[in-house]
Amino acid sequence: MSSASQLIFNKRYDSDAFAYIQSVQQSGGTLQGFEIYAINQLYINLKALGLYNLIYRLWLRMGRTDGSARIDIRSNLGVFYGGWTHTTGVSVSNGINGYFDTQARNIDIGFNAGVALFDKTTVVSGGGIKVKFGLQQSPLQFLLTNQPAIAYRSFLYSDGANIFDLVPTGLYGALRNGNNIYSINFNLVTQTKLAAPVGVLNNITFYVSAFNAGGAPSSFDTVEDCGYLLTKDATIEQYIQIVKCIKFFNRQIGRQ
Amino acid sequence: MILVGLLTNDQKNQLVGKKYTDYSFYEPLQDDNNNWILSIQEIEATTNDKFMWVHNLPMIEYKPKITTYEN
Repeated sequence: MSSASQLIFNKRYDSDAFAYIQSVQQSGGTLQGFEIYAINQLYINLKALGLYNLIYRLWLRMGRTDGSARIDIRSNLGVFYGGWTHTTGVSVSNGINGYFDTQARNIDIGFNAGVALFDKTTVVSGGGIKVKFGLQQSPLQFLLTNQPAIAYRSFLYSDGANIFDLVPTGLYGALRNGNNIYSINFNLVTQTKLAAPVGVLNNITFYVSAFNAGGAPSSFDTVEDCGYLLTKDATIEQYIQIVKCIKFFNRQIGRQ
Repeated sequence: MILVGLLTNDQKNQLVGKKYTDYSFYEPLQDDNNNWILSIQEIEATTNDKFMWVHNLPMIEYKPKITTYEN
């Protein structure tokens, strides 16, 4: 692209969206016109609503390559482990050993990071949500260390209309398998008047990012494919707005 | 039935910490019989000459480790 045409392009596009699009393409990713339009619109919407700076990391999973799917709106630090396929609109773990290390560490994001990287592929019995961690410490250690944050907004889920506070079912709910893969079962506690029944959400699995490389195989999202981490400054209402923006983006690019 | 490649211990050690694409690392893991295995996605995506031998791994059925509760 010549400097002149790039200038014209820049005028039509949000500068940060343009930078993201460039990063995706320079990493070998491919974007179609409607995807570029949707990316730009997402950035515009987030900024118009004052939400953009509340997002610590947001992975849009675009470009159909591992090099492009790792890029989030702030960085390109993440790396994939195990089996993955990157196709149109989705990045899919094989559900055996595939996980994504966000390279976001606790020390970076503080205790009030929002949850992210969820999928709908794993049925969790008992009306709860299973959160998987790639931690070098056990969930028990993690919960004890970070208990004050758990009570507020470390682990939230929103379906775009309701906000749910994820409360551990108990320290005995922590699971571990032979590969140091940890998960914690959570109950959903509604925080709004419009709460959906827990039963509606009982087949959703969160995958909280791999804060520390330690192995976190997960059946990664095949539908709602964005992952995000919010700053501790985000309110619950802003969190819901961010989810709505992401869901709108997902629909625009053909994700459900 | 999910098929995976069967690794020897030496082969596993060769792959740990190594990339199979620019931004994807091998992640060998143990199945329920403590066999070291490699997923079909990692095998198929391997183009690095150094690790082309993974395409010739014997394939076995994947049997995940049984999850246990931890207090």
